[in-house]
Amino acid sequence: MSKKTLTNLIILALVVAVAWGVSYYQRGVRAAAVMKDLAQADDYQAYKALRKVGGLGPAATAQAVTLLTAPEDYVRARACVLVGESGQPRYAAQVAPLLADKSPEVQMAAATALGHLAAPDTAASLVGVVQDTQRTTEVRTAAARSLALLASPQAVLPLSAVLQSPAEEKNSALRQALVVALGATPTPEAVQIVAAEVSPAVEKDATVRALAAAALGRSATEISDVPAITAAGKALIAAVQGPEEKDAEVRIAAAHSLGQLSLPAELSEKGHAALDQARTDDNYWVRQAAAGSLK
Amino acid sequence: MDDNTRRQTTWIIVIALVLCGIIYASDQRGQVPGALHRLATGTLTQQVAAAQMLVDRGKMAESLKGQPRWVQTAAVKALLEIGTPEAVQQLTESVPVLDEPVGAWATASLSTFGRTAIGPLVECLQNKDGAVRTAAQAPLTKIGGAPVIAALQGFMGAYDDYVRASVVAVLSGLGEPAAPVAIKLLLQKGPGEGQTSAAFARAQNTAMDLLVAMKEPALPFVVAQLLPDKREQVRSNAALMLGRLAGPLGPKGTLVVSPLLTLAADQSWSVRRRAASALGELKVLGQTPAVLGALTALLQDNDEVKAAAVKSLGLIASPSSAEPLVTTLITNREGVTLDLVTALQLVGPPALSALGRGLQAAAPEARELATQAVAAIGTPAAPPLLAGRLSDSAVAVRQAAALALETQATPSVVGPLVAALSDSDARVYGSVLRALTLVGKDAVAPLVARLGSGDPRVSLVVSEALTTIGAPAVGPLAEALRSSNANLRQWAASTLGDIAGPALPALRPIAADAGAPASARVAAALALGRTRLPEAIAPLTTLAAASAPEVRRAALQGLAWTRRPEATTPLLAGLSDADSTVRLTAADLAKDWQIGDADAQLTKLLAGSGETKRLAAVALAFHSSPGATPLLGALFGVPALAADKSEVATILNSVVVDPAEPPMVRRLALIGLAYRGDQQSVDAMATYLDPRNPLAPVAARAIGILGGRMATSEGVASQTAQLAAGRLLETLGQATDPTLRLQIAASVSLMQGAPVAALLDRLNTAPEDQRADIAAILGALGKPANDAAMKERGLNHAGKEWVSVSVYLIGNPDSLKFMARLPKTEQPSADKVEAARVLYDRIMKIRASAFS
Repeated sequence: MSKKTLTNLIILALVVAVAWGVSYYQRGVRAAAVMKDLAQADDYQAYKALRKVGGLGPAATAQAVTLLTAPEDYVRARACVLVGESGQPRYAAQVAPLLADKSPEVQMAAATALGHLAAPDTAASLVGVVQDTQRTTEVRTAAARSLALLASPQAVLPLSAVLQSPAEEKNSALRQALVVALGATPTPEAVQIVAAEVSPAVEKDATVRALAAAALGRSATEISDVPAITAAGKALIAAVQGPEEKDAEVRIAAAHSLGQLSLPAELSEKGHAALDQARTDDNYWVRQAAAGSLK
Repeated sequence: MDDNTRRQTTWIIVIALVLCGIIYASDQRGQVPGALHRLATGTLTQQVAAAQMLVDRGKMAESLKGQPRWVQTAAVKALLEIGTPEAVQQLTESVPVLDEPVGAWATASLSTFGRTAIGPLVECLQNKDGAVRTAAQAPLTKIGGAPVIAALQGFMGAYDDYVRASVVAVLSGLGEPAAPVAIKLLLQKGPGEGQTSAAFARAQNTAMDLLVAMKEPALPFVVAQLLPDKREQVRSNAALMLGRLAGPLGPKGTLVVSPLLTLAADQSWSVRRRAASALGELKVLGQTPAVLGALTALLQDNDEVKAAAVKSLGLIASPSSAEPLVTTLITNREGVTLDLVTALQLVGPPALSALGRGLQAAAPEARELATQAVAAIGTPAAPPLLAGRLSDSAVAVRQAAALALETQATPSVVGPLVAALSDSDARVYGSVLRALTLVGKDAVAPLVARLGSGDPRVSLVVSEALTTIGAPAVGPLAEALRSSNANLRQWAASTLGDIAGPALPALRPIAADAGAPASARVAAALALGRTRLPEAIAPLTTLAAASAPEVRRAALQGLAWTRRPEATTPLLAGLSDADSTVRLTAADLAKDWQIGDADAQLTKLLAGSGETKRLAAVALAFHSSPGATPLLGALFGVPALAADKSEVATILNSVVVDPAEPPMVRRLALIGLAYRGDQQSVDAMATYLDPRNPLAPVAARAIGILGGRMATSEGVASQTAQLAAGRLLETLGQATDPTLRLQIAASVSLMQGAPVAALLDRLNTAPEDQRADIAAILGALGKPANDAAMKERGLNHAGKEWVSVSVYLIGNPDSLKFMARLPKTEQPSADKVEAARVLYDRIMKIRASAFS
């Protein structure tokens, strides 16, 4: 490489660096301006500001972190949203304390943000929120949804306890989130619990049953525990074939999941028979799901 | 680096860039299907990542369209997991493309995001897709609270009405907490900072819509905060809203009565007007003495308030309102005329007794309005009241009554209706005609009684009514054929003919009844003919053989009216009838009858003898004209002489010279000769060219047409044309009667080139007072005279000038060029041109007319 070429390369690198620096600075300035908009009471105007922040990158996140301690609860909540959207686990430590914020709105935003930040060490805090019946359903649901993203095996037992708690029987949104969270955790225990939730005898809420059936299609394929897989297969076969399942959404999810699952040999024939029978189901999508699974 | 290496390097870079582009595009294109596949089969983490990708690209709703149920479910689940405001917005936007119950699940889940969802949901309220807006409304209402109200407040003046409607839908669902926002807007004195007047007006309207949508919870706010306000606009808005609230409140609508009664006594007339209108919204609930009393009192207010009160009294429709409304109609109707009619209509039958007073009012306008109100009420009690107005002195009242009876007439009012047929106003008797048609069978007897009234207009209207009534009228009409009233018989026959098919069964017996009066059979024959039905031919043929000549004549006329080929034989058989009047009738009809094998049958009759043969020849001669009528023949020229038709000409020549033949036959023969005549015909017809002969104009015209035809032939025919022209010109020279002279002049002008030489010669030798006639004839001859006139240079000065007048009148391109080339000294004088032009115009008018 000649000296001249080297000089040119250095000049080019300098130009690029200066351009980047100017751009970074400008984004910082814009972020500061947008942060002011973010602090206003009108949620719609704040939402418009929030959308502008999206393109401003780390500079905006850094400024948003400073708002986590803002006096207005809605500002703290919006800061949680912004920080959460960064997906940087390093901010989890600053967000986690807000789970104990006096405002449920902030608690919910913090719980949601922790899911996006994907810091495994926050799972315990989130489990605590889910278990805390003094909190609002929205906050607990948000925490359960975040736990689904963390897929922490340690959360399985506490979450299943909440799911099976009679006190939560009518808390549909929370139960849905719990089933999704358990279904996202590939452990034999979680699969067994979710498989039980497919049965209408156990779970009255059809949406929860449908989510459980849909979750088994993936979670049971990621474990090798035969009893758990067998339980999952039986639950799905019963949902597809059993006369007690009246809800088409559950049958659709079960038929689709059966196609993803590798059933043990003793269940394989029954699975096929169930799917074959489902091809004559009244519901169009059940028939489609069964046909797709049989392929 | 050498050139080769540099070139290769450049190519490598270009190819690499292109490949990068292709790979990038391929990857982009595959990302959405890949994401959907991951949603269908991936783990939760994969599903969330796929959904996040679609959210980032703003393609969630588009991608989910038509996807299987499990993909939709997975997408909703993943979006709920993401939970960011953008995810909430795209989840809401996806609701319309989601199947049920997935869509309902998604909608129900939106509210679980609490305040985070307000921004995106408000954004969705502005979406152009109504389904997206609807999906956003319920979650916003469920989230509720001050943040939702604050976020929506700014949209109350939004430009798009669907956005404002969505705002009203959400805020009204929040109930009382949203009311102060609306009240504050309604109390605001003008546009806020940065707000346009239009936006402010929209915002105020939205505020009113919001309060109305809230229903009962809004009432205390309106009453407590708007009613006491000093500004009349605010109180007026309050009245408006109270009125709009009355209906939706149902039985609780009476809650608005007290405040509205307060406003009805307001010092501002605009508030009183609004209050009056609002009270009407109570409908039946307003049938209370307090409400009715207040509205009745407002009938004495200014026109605007009075109109509102009248409308409201109509809406409330209390029978007790009828009297004050009718009183207003009689004494104080200015500005509310149509409103009064509508209001009385809404009050309905109970208003009829009060309207009796209106029908007798002194002012025609009041009577007209009362009539309209009675008509609008339209109960069985109305027709007698309306019929009573058919004899009103004011035409407008009669028109209104008759118009209403068009749809409401009953048998009970037939008498006045039939009497009204004599009304002088066309709209009145036109409506009466339709009213009688509506009554139908029950109107037949009185209508038939009026049919022979002697007034043609009345008879025509009655005939139309009976024709429309149709079959039920046939019996009485058939009976009328036997009447001694000729007028009645004639109209009855005409009407039965128009009724056609249903009338046949009644007409046949009369036609077949030899013992029936001849006048009845004549009428039946005419009626049968007028039906123009093939079934009428047989009875008409029977009638054509009846003993009475007038019946046979009528039968022939009836046959001719049918215009059917089957009628040819019986019609032409009339030419052989024993009675001469029947034969003449047959001849008159046969000359215009070319249907079926008429010509063949007529030709056969030529082989016979006597008058039948001659009449057949006349008819055949008429059939030669191009339009089968003398008029059309004269207008469109004449056909070339057919040598094989000389027999017809011979017969007609003999008819023409036979003084024993009736004048009508000779006249027809003369006309026939115009089309079928030969060389001998000129001499035969020339015997008529005596000014004292009434057939002279016909003969002159016929000679003119015949001469014109022969002038285009060669040899003897051409000479005959010259002879004919000579005869006519000779008569022209002798005739003193101006009418006859004009007739002859017109006839000469039909003779093409035949008279040209003689006319030019006469122009030279005739006295000055006859030259204008000759110049006019030359002008009317047109092109055949043009060349000869232009060549003529040997005349004396006066004749030359008249030649120029002729050329000028010809007026074709050649003659105009000729005139343009003439020196000024040889141009004809204006008075001579004018004198000849007057004659020329008269000649052309006669030529355009039929045989006189």
